[in-house]
Amino acid sequence: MNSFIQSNNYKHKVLVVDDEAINRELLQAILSMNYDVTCASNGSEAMDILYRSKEPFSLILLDLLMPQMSGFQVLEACKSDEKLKSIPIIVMTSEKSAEVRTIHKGASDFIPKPYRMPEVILARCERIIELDEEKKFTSSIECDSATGLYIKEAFYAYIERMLPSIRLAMDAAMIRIDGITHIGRMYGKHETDKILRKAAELIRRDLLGNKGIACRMSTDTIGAYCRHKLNCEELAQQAQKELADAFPKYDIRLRAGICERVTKETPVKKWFEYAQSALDNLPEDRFTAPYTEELMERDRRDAQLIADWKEAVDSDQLILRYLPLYRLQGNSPVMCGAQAVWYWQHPTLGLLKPDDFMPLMLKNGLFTRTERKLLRSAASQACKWNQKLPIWVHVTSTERPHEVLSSLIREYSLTTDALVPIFHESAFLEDTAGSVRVIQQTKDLGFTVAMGGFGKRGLPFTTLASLPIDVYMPAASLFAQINTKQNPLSLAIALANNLNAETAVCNVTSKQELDALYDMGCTIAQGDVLSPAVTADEL
Amino acid sequence: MITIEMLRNFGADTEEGLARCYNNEALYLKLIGMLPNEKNFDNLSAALAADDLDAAFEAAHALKGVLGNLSLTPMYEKSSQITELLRERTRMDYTPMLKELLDMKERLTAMIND
Repeated sequence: MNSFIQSNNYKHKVLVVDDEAINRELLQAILSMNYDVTCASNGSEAMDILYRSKEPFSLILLDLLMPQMSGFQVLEACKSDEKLKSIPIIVMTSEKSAEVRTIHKGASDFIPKPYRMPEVILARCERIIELDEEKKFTSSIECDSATGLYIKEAFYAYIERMLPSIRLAMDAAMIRIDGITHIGRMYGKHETDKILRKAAELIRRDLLGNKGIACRMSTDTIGAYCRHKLNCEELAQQAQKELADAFPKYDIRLRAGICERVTKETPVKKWFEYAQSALDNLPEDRFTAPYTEELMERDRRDAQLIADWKEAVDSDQLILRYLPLYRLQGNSPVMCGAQAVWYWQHPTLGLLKPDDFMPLMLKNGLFTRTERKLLRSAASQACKWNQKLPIWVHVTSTERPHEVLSSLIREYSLTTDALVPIFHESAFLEDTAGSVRVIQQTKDLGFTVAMGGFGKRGLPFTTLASLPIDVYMPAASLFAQINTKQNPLSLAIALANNLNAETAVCNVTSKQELDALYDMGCTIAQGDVLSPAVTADEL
Repeated sequence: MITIEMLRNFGADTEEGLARCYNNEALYLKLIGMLPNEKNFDNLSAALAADDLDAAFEAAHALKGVLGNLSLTPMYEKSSQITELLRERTRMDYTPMLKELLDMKERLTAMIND
């Protein structure tokens, strides 16, 4: 790299700090051949020059014994300054005992006095600048600029390299800062970078020490490989408090899934998949959770379902069922529609409900083909029933759903009230503008439009206010908290009411839950307490 | 005007001194020419007169560095001797050694100004 730089007539800037005019003159004469040299006659002058310089110095040659501000003080000041600490410093001294001391304080090398031959001095300077540039270059491609943590690929490579010599019990953790995706959308990357930097600082301090490494895994997640700890929940709570104190205007939450006592027999990437699984299944009231046998069992089952999915689609193991939807009015709910869903007659696991496999297939992008088929079946059934009952159907992974819907309506000679498309809130997080446009186009065609998974990740109010949604379907995780003090479901229903929309709550299993939904102002419900899933004929 | 020959006669290791200056004679002689203005001769004298051994050590140490870089061997050796004694904060009469050093400086200054 240096030869390239020199061949382009670029000269690195070097600062010589020595109170002796003769020494300065001599060094300037030696170094000027290859470098752009600036001299300072004491420590304070050197600091002034360093702070004022617009173009950074590539090297400082520093005398130790100087009046006013000694070389030691300059070394300390530079190494504790964010802007200056990366400049390599070569100390010039005749004191043997000072050499080790200065290296400990962050000096890169030393040149003994009296100076050796000029070639030796030049070679040493050149080597230190080159090493430093290589280090900075490596770090710039291996590290995430926002957090200073490794990027994923470098992180895995380092773990693999360290692994043979690790004798201690180690954990793999996935640490997510909930809320920053939203902050990023509202206030920009600059704000999320600040939060992530702080989180990385806390992780470095509390989790890694000098016995672990961490990386930026994704927009909101940091991966860490660290000594096994017994007090993770406590550490996370403390870190959460510090993070919240540092950014009081934001609602952010630090949560972690941990794969404990990782073993060399399991591939490194798997540790972090397990930690992610623990994080995905983390209970609401906890900051951390380990990857358990139970989760491992679930992951194995998921892997099996994914492996069996293609055959299920090809060999008609998927069975169309209808979940009747009831309007909650007066004392007796009245059927007002039916949601078309797939049940899966699995060869070894028996009959699987949509919740057992649909989220998994959606997450893995495996639902598109079957969703098209589901839409077509729903349209065909609506035609057979002469549109007596609107059929609700997910259009979660369908591309250009308004076009698909309108072509089905034409094909089966239906009107738009035959089908109620259900969009999913998560689609908005990926492409808000695109999703709003598609919903508006669907609405313009005359369809009633529903939104599933409502309230799980939180849409900005500005987006909500502009959405022409007719029915909000709160996420299952909100319904699961119906008996808690906070009861976020009542908030979701109240919000939908304020938006002049209806709410449809699914999977209601008891009379008590149904009564609670009446009280909260929910207008549509579905679940076993009203009717189980049925075939078209049964309906 | 001082020459390399004169410096050699003075006892300087001119070969080493010149090599340190890329064999640039003009540069070497220019640096030698700066020596009469070297403040640490005065600093050392004043510190020793005031019995301030810390300040004396700093001045002697700095002088030793400069004289070494100029390869002025007799002066370098004398300054090294004083520096090592002062490093231990040895209490003694430094006058004879200091005089020797200053005399050499005077001789050199005379050659420079001649």
